[in-house]
Amino acid sequence: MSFIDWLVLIGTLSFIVIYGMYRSRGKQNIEDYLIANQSLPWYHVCFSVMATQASAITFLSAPGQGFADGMRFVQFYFGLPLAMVVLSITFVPIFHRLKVFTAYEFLETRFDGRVRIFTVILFLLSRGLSTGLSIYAPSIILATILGWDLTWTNILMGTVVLVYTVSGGTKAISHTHLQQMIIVTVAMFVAGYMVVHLLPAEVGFVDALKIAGKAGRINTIDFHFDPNSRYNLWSGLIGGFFLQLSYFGTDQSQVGRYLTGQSIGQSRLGLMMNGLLKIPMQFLILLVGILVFVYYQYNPAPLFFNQVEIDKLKSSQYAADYESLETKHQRLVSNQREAVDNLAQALEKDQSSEVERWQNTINEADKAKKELKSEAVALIKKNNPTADTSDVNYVFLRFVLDRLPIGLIGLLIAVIFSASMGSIAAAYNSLASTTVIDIYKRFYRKEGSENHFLNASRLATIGWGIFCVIVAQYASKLGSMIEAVNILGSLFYGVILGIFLVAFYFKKLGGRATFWGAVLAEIAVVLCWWFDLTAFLWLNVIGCLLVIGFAWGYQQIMGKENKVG
Amino acid sequence: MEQNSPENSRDGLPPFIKNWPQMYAVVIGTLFVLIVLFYLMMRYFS
Repeated sequence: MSFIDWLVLIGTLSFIVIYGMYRSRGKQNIEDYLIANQSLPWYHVCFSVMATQASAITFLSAPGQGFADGMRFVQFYFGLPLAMVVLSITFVPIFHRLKVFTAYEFLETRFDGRVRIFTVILFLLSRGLSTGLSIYAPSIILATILGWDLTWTNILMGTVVLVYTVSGGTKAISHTHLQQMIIVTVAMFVAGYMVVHLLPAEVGFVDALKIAGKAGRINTIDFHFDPNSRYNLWSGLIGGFFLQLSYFGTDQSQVGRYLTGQSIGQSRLGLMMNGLLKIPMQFLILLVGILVFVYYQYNPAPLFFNQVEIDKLKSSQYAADYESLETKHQRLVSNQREAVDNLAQALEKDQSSEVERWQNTINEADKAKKELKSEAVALIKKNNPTADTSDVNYVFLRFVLDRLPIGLIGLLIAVIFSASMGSIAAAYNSLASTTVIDIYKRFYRKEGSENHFLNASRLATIGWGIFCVIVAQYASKLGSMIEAVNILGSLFYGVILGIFLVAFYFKKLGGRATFWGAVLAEIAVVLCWWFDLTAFLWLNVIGCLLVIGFAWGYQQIMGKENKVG
Repeated sequence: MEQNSPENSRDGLPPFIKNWPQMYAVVIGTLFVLIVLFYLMMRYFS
């Protein structure tokens, strides 16, 4: 990166951090620190919720998914608006009325301490692990740019976020989220414009979409119901609905965001606006990915986008084998370039037989390129068995570094960093608030001064920061990170959601039935995943329904408890 | 429904929306429109 890029990167990130700390200055108590004293307007809630969900993973993996797999990933978010509606009707009024710090406090009011602590453990486990992945995502950028060791980049990334999270708490997080989302939106529009600008003069935006469409990349909707297909309309609407409802309704990193709303109405409007904006935002990020795909139809693309692994391979005994693969790849690329030119002409002249002919040529070349990539991956694996063999996360990054002008590179890298900082900060805050409110205050120190619990929250934040950095060390073995995070969430979220749905809608089911129902459901979900019985999105539905079913069955067999909600 | 229930409160609603059920309908309606637009886009470009 040039000096100007470094200046833009450091300037943008410093502005965000300093602004957040400045807006959260002054004396704090535990309410300020954990839920911003419930004082924030709807747009803070909306952008904070969006920034928490949209991590660096969103801006690294999603364009890469668009490039490699087309736009079908957008269907994953179809359940989100429906989940926002259910949350606004049920969860938000209850959490606000009970004036809780964490969602799990409600479970003890409704059931007992056992259900609360079981849910807290599931949450801490899933959120702690997935936050490790969120740290790893921007760390690979530093590793690629600077050639640093991943251990040090993980430590650096995890620590920078700790500084303003520990000092400013929820208010600092919320103010930084607002700045982050503005910068992210502007930068992604500029990136999209730049990709189109870098295409040959005769290829406009619509032409690029036509080429992407003929190459099978505009696969936005799939109506086929297939429980083993990862992304289709039904898994998005049904599985996605359960996942998003569970994520936003029971994951403290999100609950903690809308608990900061100054009223029920402000929290609700924030969630409704998230329901309106999230799908278009995700669509645009994937669109940038398919525009990058079109760009590489006209320009030489690397055989494998992770330059660090390629450099290692080139200095190994397999260098000659890789050179040979690269030569074959370049031949394919130039043939494909010719086919793309012919396809563009045929599309312009509306010659359907010619369009079909060149479309087939492009698709065949695409297939051959994928086979070459598999061979390259095999070489990488032979050379370094611990290597990251998925390059989906590197596609957009490689494009930014190789093709965008000075200044814009710094801005785009700042976007990836600031998005990551936003989600990591919210996660640290939620892990700390759950540890202090649901474990420390509940089981160890029921009484104490404001200052004592404030310091305990700060210490818990630091402790979780260290844990997440350790997890980040092991994250490179998980393929596409955005999928890894969602799979991890799906293992736990369905069961947690089931517990909350029993709490809200099944008033006759008691704590003991719910507890054993949840334990059995979690075992069943892990078995479904272990034996690969279904696509991961359905695990949310299965987990949720099994909790309800098992709890109901348990109560039928064992009889009603004395204490019900 | 009670008069003071959150569904009847106008707090947070944009001026052109009368009540919360209407707001929910707008969000679900937008989802439906997006799905239709994505489908038409796929048909047109593929």
